[in-house]
Amino acid sequence: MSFLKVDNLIKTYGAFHAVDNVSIDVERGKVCSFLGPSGCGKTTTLRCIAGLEQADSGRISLGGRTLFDSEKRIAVPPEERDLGMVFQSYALWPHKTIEANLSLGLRIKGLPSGEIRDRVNEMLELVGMAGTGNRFPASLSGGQQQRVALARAMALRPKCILFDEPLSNLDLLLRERMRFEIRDLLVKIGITAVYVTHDQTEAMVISDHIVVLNKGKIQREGSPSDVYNYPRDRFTAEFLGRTNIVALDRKNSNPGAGIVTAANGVRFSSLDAKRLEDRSETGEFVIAFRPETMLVTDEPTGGQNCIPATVVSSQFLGGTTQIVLDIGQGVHVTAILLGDQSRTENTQAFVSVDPRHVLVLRDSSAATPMAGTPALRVPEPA
Amino acid sequence: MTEAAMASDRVTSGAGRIAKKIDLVPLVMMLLVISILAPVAVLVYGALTSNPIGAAFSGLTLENFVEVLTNPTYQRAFFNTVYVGVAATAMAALLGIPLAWIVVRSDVPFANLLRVGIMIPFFLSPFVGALAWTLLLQRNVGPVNLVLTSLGLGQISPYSARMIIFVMGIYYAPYIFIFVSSALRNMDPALEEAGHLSGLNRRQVITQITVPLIAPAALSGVLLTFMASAGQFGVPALLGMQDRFFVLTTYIYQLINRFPAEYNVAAALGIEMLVIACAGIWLQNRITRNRSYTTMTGKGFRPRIIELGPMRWLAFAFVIAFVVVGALLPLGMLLWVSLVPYYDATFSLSAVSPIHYLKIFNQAFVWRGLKNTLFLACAGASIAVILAVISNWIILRSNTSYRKPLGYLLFLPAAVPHIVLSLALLWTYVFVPLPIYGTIWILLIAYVTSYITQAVRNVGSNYVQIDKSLEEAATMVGAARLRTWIEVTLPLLKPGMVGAWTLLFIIFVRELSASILLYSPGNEVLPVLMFNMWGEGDWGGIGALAMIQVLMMGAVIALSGLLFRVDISRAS
Repeated sequence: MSFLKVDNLIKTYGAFHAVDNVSIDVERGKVCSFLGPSGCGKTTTLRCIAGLEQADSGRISLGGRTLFDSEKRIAVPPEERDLGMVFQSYALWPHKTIEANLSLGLRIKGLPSGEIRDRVNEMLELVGMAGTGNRFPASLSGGQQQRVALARAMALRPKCILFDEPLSNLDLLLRERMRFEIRDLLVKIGITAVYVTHDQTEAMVISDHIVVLNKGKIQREGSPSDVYNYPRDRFTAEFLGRTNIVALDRKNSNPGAGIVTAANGVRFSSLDAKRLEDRSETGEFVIAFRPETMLVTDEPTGGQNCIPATVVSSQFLGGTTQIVLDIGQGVHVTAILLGDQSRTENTQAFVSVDPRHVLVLRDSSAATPMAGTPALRVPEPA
Repeated sequence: MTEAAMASDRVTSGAGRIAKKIDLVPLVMMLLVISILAPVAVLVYGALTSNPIGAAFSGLTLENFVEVLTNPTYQRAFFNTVYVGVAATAMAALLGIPLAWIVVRSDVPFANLLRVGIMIPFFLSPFVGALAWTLLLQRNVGPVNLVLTSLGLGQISPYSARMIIFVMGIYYAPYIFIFVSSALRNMDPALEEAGHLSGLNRRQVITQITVPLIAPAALSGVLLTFMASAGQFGVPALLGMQDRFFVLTTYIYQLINRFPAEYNVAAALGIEMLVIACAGIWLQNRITRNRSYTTMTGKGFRPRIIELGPMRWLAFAFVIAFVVVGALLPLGMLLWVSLVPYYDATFSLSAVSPIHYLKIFNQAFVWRGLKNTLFLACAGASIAVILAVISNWIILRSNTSYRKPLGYLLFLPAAVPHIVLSLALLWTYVFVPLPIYGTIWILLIAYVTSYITQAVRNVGSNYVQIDKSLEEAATMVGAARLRTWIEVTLPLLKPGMVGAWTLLFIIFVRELSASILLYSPGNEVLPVLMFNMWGEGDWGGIGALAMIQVLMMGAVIALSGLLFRVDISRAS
């Protein structure tokens, strides 16, 4: 039974479909991330849940209580939704002390002053900001403001807490640390949370469930490892991590035998091949495998999918080595290997990929540029 | 060229650059000190002697201040100034704050058009507004009085303290509007949203979050408006002097224009005004200290629009009513009196004739006044903008120790009421053995000095947005300082410079407070001509001159919009 339920949500701005029929279920006590590039509809969906935007149609309910229902004309105002929210800009009120920032909602609720004081201290303690109550937000660093914003969002003990790219204004080191802190905190208090981000690593660390959005539509959802290891479309695969994409020759493939053929004639064994037999799957497909699933050897391994290749370039990156190889007819693939495994350019080598890792992906959005990581685009064979 | 020669060449050009830097700063500083501090010092001296103007030194006395502080008529003028200032400011705030909220934050229809409409009274100026409202409320024939009579209500006389407050309230409302609307626009909407998520309803969000956040900006606007309305000359002169209702500005004017002129008492009154203004600035600094928050990040948020439902049409009607009272009625009235030979409360198109335009264009002094106004507006705006660019460069980019004092110095003119500054200049240039007193140059000096703060602020707000590294990048590819300026700084500063120039041009075209004490026959400017025609009751001429003034301002606004894409209604 889902705790936060979003059904068939649609929100348009003129002709632009910001949220295009999105349905999401979040279980109680779980953290769900909305992941996608800017303009994909993740923030709009979050703001519809918060009540800061009103969807054109659809339903939203929290813990069995309807917050929004376009048909029944229900739209609970944001202040009555029992939600906490952490904003991208933190949105700490600059004219109020930290204590007043946390206690405002409690005072509005009419809690006794002793309880308010205890609650404020408890929350500041929780985020590691005890003793800052008398200071003003401007005197805190970005990371500290972030913690206070989180404390404020939790002070009213909401049923669910919403995060709108809360770490995007922090520097890299702090961002990486805060991910784990937020994850630990959310698990510790066991609160239901929705977390919007465009950073795939952040989503992987923080969430139990990831919803990948693109152009207002859900591309893929599932646990972080499902979404990463088994993307079903090219967009998701490219948005989460780096992926080699190789054009597919569907005519010469043999899905029944588990064989997919690349446009340059290379044949791959793939556990995913049977997808091509599925009548319900329409459209174009590509072959994909992640760089870190690849093996590069001097001699054939004797295993499956061992392809002769030429080393195009090789770069030792410190923790890993990145090798670009030509697997025939100018089709380049990139392998990322642990440690220093540098090779000499223009030498022969063998590339292996386990059939489990050779994916057949719907070519959903070939033109979608990737945010963050550079694309590993493979030129089509001439 | 040999290596050594090149090196030495580099050294000399480097030294030349340093020498230039050292020369420029004290020069500008001296110019500013002479034009800003010296007159105020002379004014203080004038108030402390009983000597007539220009006479040799013969001891100091406090008798002028004793007179100013104890004589009931002066006390009355002081009280009237504070009363009119406070009441007009309150009215301007009661109009300006809701207008800003409606245009920026509500879903009122045609918001952009309304924004421009609200700014029209600002361009028209309180003086022209007072002229128009004198006509609209003329006994028995003023259209507004005609309407009131037909409704069975009594007539309203334009000559009263209440009308002074009314007119200044309307024409200063755009000041408050500018301050509050920019604060509303620069406020992170998430601050309000966070309030909702903390359980605050709409009303609580407004009272607990929006109002406290806007308050510092609104208070700044309120105090500036108070200082402007306490220093207003045109409106109380037109609407107050008839019934011997005097404020400090009109009293200073009276003292100087009576025979024999009482310059020393006028100077003491000027000092009194200066003290009021300084108190205003002190109060503003106190209230807004550490409280400008980060709302002025200039990030440019998209404000959260609040849906008013059917109430939006009520809000629309409110704004339209303001525009009608502040702009359309006055402009229509002035246009009409300029088009008919004699205004007699009838409105028939057959009566229209160009007689007033032909008349004024046949008079040499009108042409002279036009020429003077155009010259002063163009030259004054140009000089002020050039000084502002140099000053901002010194303040923002140089590393001289003068930076701080220069900043304070440039702020000073904002504290000196314009009529006081012109009184001080008048006194100063009687002493100075240069052919400035009694010429157009003293007006030019007065204009530039009075509004240098405005220019520095406008150009400065543009200058701070230019990242220093853009200039450094030009230096790194080998551009010398002057070249960097020409290639990088000035092009990027263009919007700020054009905006400041246009705004100053408009201000100078309508300038009366400073001009009225400093003009001499042959050096009249348009507003002075209008003021004198008002004394003669030549309403047709006034209407025609007002239309010419509006055309000049409109042309400059349109030109700066078309050529430089500067939206002057957004400048402040």
